[in-house]
Amino acid sequence: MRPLTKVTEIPQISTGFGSGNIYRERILPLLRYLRRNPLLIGGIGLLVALFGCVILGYLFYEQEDWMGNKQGVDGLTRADSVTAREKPSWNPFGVHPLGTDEQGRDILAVMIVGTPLTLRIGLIAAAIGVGVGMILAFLAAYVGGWVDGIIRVVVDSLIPIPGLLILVLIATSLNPGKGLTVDQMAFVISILAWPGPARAIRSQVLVMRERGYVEMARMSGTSTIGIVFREMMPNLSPYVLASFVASVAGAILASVGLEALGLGPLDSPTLGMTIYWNIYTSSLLKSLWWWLIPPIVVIVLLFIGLFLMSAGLDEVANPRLRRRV
Amino acid sequence: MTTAEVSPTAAVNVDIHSENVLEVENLKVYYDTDAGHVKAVDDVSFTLKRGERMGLVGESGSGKTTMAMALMRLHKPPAIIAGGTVRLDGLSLLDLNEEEMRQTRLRDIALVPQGAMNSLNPVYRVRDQIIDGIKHHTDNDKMPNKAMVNERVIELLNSVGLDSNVADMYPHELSGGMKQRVALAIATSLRPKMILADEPTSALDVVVQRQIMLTLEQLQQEMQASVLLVGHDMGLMAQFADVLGVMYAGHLVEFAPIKEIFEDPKHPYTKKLISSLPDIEVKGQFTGIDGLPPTLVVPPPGCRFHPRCPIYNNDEDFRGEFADLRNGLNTDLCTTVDPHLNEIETRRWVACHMYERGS
Amino acid sequence: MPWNYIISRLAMFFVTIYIASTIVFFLPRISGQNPLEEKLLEEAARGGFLEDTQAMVEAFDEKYGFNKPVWEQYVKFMVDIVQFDLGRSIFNWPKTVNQLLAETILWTIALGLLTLIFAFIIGTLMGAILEWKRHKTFLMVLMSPILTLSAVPYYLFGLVLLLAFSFVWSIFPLFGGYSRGIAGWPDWSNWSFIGNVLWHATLPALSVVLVSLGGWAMGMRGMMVTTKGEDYMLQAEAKGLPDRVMFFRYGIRNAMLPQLTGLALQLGLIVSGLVLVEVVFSYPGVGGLLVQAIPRNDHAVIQGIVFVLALGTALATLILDLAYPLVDARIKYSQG
Repeated sequence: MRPLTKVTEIPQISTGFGSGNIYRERILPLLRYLRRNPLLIGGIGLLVALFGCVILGYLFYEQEDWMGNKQGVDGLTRADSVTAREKPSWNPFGVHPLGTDEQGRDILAVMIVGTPLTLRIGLIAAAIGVGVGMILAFLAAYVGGWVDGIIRVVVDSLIPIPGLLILVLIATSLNPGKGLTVDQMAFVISILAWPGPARAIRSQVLVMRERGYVEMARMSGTSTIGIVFREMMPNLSPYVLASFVASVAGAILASVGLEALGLGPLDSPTLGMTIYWNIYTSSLLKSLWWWLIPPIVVIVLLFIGLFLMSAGLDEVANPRLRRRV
Repeated sequence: MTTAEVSPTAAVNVDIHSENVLEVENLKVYYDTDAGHVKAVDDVSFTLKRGERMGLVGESGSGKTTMAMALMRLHKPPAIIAGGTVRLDGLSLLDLNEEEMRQTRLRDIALVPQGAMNSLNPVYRVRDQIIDGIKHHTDNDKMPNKAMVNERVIELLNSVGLDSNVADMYPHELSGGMKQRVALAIATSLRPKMILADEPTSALDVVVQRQIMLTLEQLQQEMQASVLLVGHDMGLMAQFADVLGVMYAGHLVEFAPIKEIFEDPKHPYTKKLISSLPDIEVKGQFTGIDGLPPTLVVPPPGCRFHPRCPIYNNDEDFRGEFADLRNGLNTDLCTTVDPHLNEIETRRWVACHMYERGS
Repeated sequence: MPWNYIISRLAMFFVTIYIASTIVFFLPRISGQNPLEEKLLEEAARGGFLEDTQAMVEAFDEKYGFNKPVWEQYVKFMVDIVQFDLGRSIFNWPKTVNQLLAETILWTIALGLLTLIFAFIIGTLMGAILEWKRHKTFLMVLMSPILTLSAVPYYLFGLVLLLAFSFVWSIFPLFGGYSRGIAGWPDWSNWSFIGNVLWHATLPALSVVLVSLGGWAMGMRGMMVTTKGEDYMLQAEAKGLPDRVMFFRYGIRNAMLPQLTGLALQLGLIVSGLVLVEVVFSYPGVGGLLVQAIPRNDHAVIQGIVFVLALGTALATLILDLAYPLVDARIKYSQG
C-alpha cells in the first residue's frame, strides 16, 4: 500500500525557450504518455526491430553465389540472378541460413530485399490515399451542399464494392503477362485507398468544425484556410496518423493479395511474390516448407506491428478507449 | 408521523420495532488510485427515521453522490467500501452477498436517478422496463398473470401522473419530465422502505422540477417511505426535507432538522453556505463560498475545512456571532486533529472543535 | 410507411450497382487487348495451324458486337446486365458465365456464410464477456493470441494451418472441396460425401473464423465499454436486475447495434475475402474460377464475378439499411 501522505510531485514549469526545454516540455511528456500506451510502443518497437534487421542485412549480410563468391543482397532485385550452388535446399548451418528456393535464391537475402519493397508499396499507396481522402474530406465538410452530396454518394457506394476484385480488374487489364513494377502496384492500389480515409476524416472535420475554438477563430475573422491549417490540423493529426497507419496496412494487405493472385511485379522479390511463387510451384507438395514460412512470418510481423500502432493511435485520438484506472 | 408499520416484504430477521429505517455508522468509501487512497467518504454516521425525508448537500466532490451510491452498494471501482456499517430496517446491507443485495435493491431501497440521465434502456418500451424490475423480484410461481401485471403498470404510471399510453412508448419519445416520472414509477413499483434520489430534478426546468418533487413527496407519504435527497439546491431542500446533512470533503460536518439548521447553523461551513443563499426578504447578495474544495488525495491536516474556515481565519463577518465559541477554541486543534461528529443537542450533530470542549 | 426512406435507399443501391457495372465494363478495356485473339493464337500455335485466326476473331467480334463503338457496346452490356446475362467465357467455351458461377458460387457462399455467422456470434460474445468480466485474467490470456491473429490475412493463416495440419500432421486434406475420383460423387444425398465435404472445409473455415474472431471481439468490447458507462446500466443495477439480465438485455442488446452494421458489410466482403483462401486450399469456389480466369484474361468471367460480388454486397447493405430501424427504435426512417 502506498503511503497516503505522499505529496505529488509538482512538475517544474520552465519559462525559457532554450533547446534543453524542448526535451522537458515536449519529449518527456510524450515519453510519459507512451509508457501508458503499450500498444503504440509495442507496434513501433516491432516495426523498428524488423527494419533494424533489414538495414543490418543490407549492410552486413553477404550471400554466396553459385561460384562461391560473396556478394551483397543487391544482386537479388533481378529474378534471374541465381546465386546458390545447390537448389532448393535447407541447411541452416551452411552458407544459406534460411535455405534456398526453387530458383536457388538465398531466402534470407530475399527477405532482406523484399520487406522494404512491400512496405514501399504500402507507404506510397497510403500517402496518396490519405492525401486525396483528406482533400475530399475538407472539400465535403467545408464547401458542403452538392459537393458534399456527390463525394458522400461516391464514397458510400465505393466502400461496399470489394476492393481487391476491382484491383484485380485494373491489374489484369494493365499488365497482361509482363507484371507491374513495384511503384505501379502502389499507384493501382492507391486508386481505391482514399474512400476510407475520406469518410473517417470528413466526420471528424464535421465534429471539429462545431467546436468552440474553431468557432472562436471564425468569429475573430480567421480565413477558412487559416482555420483548417492552424486550428484543425493539429487536432486532426492523431486521426490522420491513425488513418494513415491503417491505410498502410490495408495497402500492404491489398498488394500481397494481388501478388498472391499472380498480378504482382514478377521480377521483384516482394514478400507477396514470394508467397505467389510458393503457391504457383505447389511448394508444400514438394516439402519446401522453409521457403513458405519466412515470408509468412515477416508479413505477419509487419501486420501485427501496424495493427498495434494503429490501435495505439486510436487510443490517442479517442481518449474514451484509454485504459481507466 | 413516523408510524412504525410492518412492511409486508420485510425479512424475518428485521427488528420491526426499530424506529430508524436507515442507520449509517462510520461509513468509509475510498477511491483506490495511483496517487493513493482518496477518502471520498470518511467516517460518516447518521440515522434516518421511517417516513422521514433527509436532504444531503455539499459541493461537487464532497462525496455526497459517492455515499448515496455506496448505500445501495452501487459504487464502482476504483471506489471501495473501506469500513463501517449500513443497516436498512435492521438488515446489515454490507454483509449481504451479491444475490441478497440484488434482491434488496428496488424491493427495499430504490434509486431515482439524476434528472439529466438517460436512465431508461433505449431499446425497450416503458412497460417492459417497469415489468422487468417487478419480475426479477418475484418468484416465478408467484408472478401474477399478464393482465394483472399490465394493470399494475398502468396503476403505477397513473400514480406518477402519466397517461396509460406511455406504457407502449420508447424512452426517446418521452420528455425529460416524463422520463423522470417513469423513473419514479419504477422506483416505487415494489413499495420500498427507502428511496434514494440523486439530484432527481437536475436539468429539468423549474416548473417540471416542482411537479416532480410534489409527485415524489406524494408517493413517499402514501408509502411511508424514507427519502434521501442528494443535491446542492438549498431552496429545494428547505421545501422538501425534514432533516439535512451537510457534507464537506468526505465528512458529514453537520446533521440536524432542517428548520434548526436554517435558523441556527452550528458548523462554520453550514453557516457560510446558508449565508451565501440569496435571501428573499433581505435581498442580500449571493456571496458564494471563498476558496476551492481541498484535494482528497492529500487532505489538509486536522480539520479539513480549516483553510477556508472563517472562524479559524478570524474573518470579520463572523467575529460577532461566534465570538464566545472562538474565544475558547484552541486553534492548534484545527490544524492537527480531525474533529468528530458529536451530538451536541438532541438530533443536532456537528463536527467542529468549537463544540467539543465540555463533551 | 416511410416511402421516401425506402426510395432513397433503393436509389443508393442502384447507384452502387451502376457504378460497379460501369467499372466492370471499362476497366478491362483500358489495355485494348483482344483476349480472344490471344486465345486463338495460343490454340493455333498448339495445333500448328495459324491460318484464318484473324478471320475467326473478326467473325467472333462481329457476332458479339465487339467491333462496334465503345458506347454501343456499353449500352448493350448494360442491357445484358439488367437481364443478368453476363456473357460467355472464352476459355470454357461455350459455357456462359452464369453457368460457371452457378457451379462455384454455392461453395463460396456456404463457406462464407457459415464462417461469418460463427465468427460473428463467438467473437461478439467474447468481446462482450471480455468487457463485462474485465477482472478475469484468463480472458486476457485467451484474447492476446486471438487479437494477434486478427492482424493476419485469412489466406496467410490458412497457409500456416495447411502447413501444420495437412503437411506436418496429415489430419486434414491438402487441397480440394471433396475427395476426387470416387464414383458417384458429388452426391449431396450421400452422408459420407457430406462428411467428406465438411472434412475438406474444416481448415478453410478455421482460417477465416479464427482470424476474424478478434475483429468482432474488439468491436464489441469497444461498444460494451461505451454501453457499460451509460446511465441506464447504473439504473438497471439499481433496479436489482440479475447480472445475466443486465448482460444480455441491457449490455449486449444495446452494444450489438453497431456490430450489425459491420455484419452486413462483411456479408458482402467475406466472399471476396475468401478468394485467396480458396486459392490456398484449391477450393472449388468462385476464387478458384477467378484465379483461372486472371492469367487467361477471360474478361467475361472476371467481370461477372466482380459484378456478382458487388451486387451481393450492395444487396446486403440495402437489407441492413431497411431492417436496422426494426432493431433500434431510435432510428427513424429518415434520409441521410
